[in-house]
Amino acid sequence: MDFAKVLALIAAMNREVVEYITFGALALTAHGIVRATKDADFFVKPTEDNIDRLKRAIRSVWDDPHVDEISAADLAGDYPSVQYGPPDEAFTIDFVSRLGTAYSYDELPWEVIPIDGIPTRVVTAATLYAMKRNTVRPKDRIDAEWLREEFGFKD
Amino acid sequence: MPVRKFRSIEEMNEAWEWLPPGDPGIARQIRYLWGMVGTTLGPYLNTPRGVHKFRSIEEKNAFDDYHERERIDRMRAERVKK
Repeated sequence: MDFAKVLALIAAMNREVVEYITFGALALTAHGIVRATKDADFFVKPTEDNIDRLKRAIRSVWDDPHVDEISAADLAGDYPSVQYGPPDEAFTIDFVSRLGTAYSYDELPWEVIPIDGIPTRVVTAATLYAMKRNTVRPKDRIDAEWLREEFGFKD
Repeated sequence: MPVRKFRSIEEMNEAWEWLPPGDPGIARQIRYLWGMVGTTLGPYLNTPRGVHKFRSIEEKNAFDDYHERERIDRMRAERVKK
């Protein structure tokens, strides 16, 4: 995974004033718990304006016609999870508007944490812990355990 | 402190300290770790290109798991051939 390209996307989203919140392994890493991943996860606000800004940000990093397939209507409607695999990269980017009924962009608490000097909107560690601790996937439960140990969260 | 010695793996694990959020060392660690993944798995990384849409996170996880399984199976098959 080319970390420089992920940082370039974050910088572009900041420049385009995209409403996004990093979660998943990249957020875990921003909070200090470094682990490998093959995708970068972002909650995004599923409005037409915001998704237009998001697509401009993506296109500034990858000149890829597939970017046109990302739409606010999908993210706000039947497809709350959209995965984008940029050309010639060994990673994917997940854009999510909501996770089930428990989490949606507007309700997620976030903070700004610099990653390599780039201000990054990251979901809070407590929310990340809550998101991961009740999932069935082993890798998420391991992440939750790391967060619990590091931040002293109680069940 | 270039060399640290431990009497057991448990003692070593207890001594591990995560970096605080925002620490510049985090970016160095990510580059090293993700670079190592890329070097190790490079030819096998089969993450799908283009845009894929999912009705739920479960559907998306199943899609990811399929590709992970396919990657592992391919790596194992090639090891068996050797």
